[in-house]
Amino acid sequence: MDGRIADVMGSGISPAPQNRAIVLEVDQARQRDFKRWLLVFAVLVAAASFDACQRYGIVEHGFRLDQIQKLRDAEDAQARHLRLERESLREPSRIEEIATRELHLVVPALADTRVIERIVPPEQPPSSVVASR
Amino acid sequence: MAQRVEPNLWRGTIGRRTAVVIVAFVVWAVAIEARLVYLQVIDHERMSAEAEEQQSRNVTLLAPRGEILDRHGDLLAYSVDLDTIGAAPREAGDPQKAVARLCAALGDCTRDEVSTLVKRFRSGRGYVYVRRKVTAEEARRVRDLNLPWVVFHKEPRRFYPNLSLAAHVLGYVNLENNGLAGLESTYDQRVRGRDGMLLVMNDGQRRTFSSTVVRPPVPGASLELTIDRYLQYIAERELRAGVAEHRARGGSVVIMDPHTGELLAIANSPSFNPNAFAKSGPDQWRNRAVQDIYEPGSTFKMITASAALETGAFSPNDVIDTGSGVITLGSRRVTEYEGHRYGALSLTDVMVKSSNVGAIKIGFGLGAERLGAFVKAFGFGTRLSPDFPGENAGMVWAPERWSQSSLMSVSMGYEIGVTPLQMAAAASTIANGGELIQPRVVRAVIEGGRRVPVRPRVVRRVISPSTAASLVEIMEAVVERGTAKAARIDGYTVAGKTGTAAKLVNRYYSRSDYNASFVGFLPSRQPALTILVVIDTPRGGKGYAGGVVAAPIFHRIAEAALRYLGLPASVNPLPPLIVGGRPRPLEVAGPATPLLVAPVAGPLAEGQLRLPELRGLSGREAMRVLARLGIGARINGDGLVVEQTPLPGTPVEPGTWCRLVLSRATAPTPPGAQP
Repeated sequence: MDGRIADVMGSGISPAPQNRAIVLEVDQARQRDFKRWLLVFAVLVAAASFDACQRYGIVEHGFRLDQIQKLRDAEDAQARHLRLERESLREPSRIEEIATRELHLVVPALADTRVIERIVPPEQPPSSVVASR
Repeated sequence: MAQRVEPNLWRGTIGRRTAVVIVAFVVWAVAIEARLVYLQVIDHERMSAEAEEQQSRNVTLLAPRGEILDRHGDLLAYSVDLDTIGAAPREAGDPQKAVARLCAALGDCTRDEVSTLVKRFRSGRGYVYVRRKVTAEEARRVRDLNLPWVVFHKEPRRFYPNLSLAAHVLGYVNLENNGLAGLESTYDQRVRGRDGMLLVMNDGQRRTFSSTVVRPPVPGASLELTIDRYLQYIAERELRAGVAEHRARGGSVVIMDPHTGELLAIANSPSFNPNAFAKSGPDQWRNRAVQDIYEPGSTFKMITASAALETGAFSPNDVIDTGSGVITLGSRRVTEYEGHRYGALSLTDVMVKSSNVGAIKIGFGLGAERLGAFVKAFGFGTRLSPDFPGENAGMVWAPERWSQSSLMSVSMGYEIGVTPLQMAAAASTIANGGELIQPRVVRAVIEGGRRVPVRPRVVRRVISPSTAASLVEIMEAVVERGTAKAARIDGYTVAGKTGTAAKLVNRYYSRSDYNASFVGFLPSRQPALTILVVIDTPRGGKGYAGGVVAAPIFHRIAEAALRYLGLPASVNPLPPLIVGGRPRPLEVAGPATPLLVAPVAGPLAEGQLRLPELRGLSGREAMRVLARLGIGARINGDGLVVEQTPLPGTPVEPGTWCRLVLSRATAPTPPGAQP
């Protein structure tokens, strides 16, 4: 057997096919094709990921917006409650009670009062714009 | 010997196996595709509807109910959101235990409420109310129970922060926020607004990630009233005190501006708290000032006197013989109050002494037709204000149906039913120089961010200015030396008339039940207020006459009102108080009416107008007046207008210029001190 191989190697004659080593040939065209498709796939995946992120971001934004709106509504409601409370505290009989019973103020007699200056409030224009609620 | 292997056997094996895999893959793919097609094409509608139901829901956006404000913008009625407690009874378990837990937290369930709740829990419904519009404290206690079957949501509730103030004017609403009485009912459609719709998208965990307003809510209109909150309080306070003092059944007070018809206060006793109207009854809810009619008695003599003077049938100094104080007509016999005998009286003194005989003789002199025409002209027998749909028109017989006896009665204020509002409007007619102005309580409507005022409306001219002036003098005398001395106010001229009218009880005039009234205006020559006081059936020890019961209440109300409004004295007024001196002292003009024009002789050419009085106005007000007239302004200084060129009353053309000098008074700087 050694002699045979030596003979083969020495004589320059190729060995029998069944003993030939397999040589992989690189298929350049196929490689190029493969890389191209990989790139396309990567771009598609990137685009899809980007789109998914955007949509997710929009949904998250929507959650936040809803939260902020709820907060704002709660603040509005609180403001209304406070306004009502303030007006209740200004109720005339309550003020008079505090003034006369607690602070011992007295109502001046008409003769003890004197008009210093009377400001005539201007008339409202026929149709005026007010701040909207 | 080695076995021979077919060189391509493996190809067949691999091929078969590959074919099986491919077939399996294709079958799987086809199955998936078929399912997709079924779901997305064939079953598309059902799936979409189900998805929409799961993901989206419509939420009603409640429109906020409009506010009700007084003339200065103070709140009279306001809505805030409160928690409403609901429950899902199917998940609550035993109804008795569930209700017991809730009532333990609420703390004040009555027996009826408990049994009602248990019934609701047993009803099998998916959702029931436990209690609506609770306080924050009650909601917190129930929330702390952490019961998964308890649901909270917000509902608006109407509050009246001034309690019973102006209750009859405002009215009240029910639990559904429907107006049931007063302005809440009259203007309910405008004040309630229109609910909107919100489309909400939820994820699988029921979190909202998108909301779109499908239809925006339209907020309700707000009402700005003519009512002055403090004057209303004064009127109610003094009325309540007067009714208690005289142990009366009730009463009404009306305060109005005689020039504009604006109702500054309408007070009734008894009253109620609109925050808890269900705790009172119909007798308290009734707005007596516009719904109740009464026979006015002697206050009506001012109508008789107006008719007499306006028609020229009588003059203020004409003498009327009241004889021995008795007048008979057939079997009917009318005497003077408390049997007085006045003899010959001038028309003025007929009013001053409130002579029944004198009034009847004036009525006879007029005749039914003429007196009836004036009764109608003054607004009696008709509804005057559009703001009170429940207003009583009163009871006035047609003059054609008046007998002589009826003429006698009407002349002195009987056989005619009037409301306190009508009497106040009639007195205002005299006060403002003879025009019947439509009384109103809504001053402006604020809707969509715009304030639209309601303009005063002159219904008709009833008497001439000269007749009105004569009547003012007569009514001043009533207060000065007649039956209404208790209405006098030092430093102010007051004009008025008292009334003491027996009430009809079981078709006969009572000898113990009277309506005591007084109507007056002040300061009489430049009236700012008309005030009417009516007390129903006073029974106190001081008597029942208008001059004793109603006039003192008028006095107290008027005094407080004068002080509050800062109206200077009209009798011997003190000179203006100069707070600080400058080389040129500040002269402040009296009550300024910007559009009043000083009378200047000479006609106006076409296109000309007279320059109004601007002195005493602030710079801004003066510029506004001039802008409306199309006249330019050149201003020097700041403060109030003390000088104007040209002078008031000068004929000018639009586009010309007016020079104004303004000045402001300040405290003087002491010598050596820094200013």
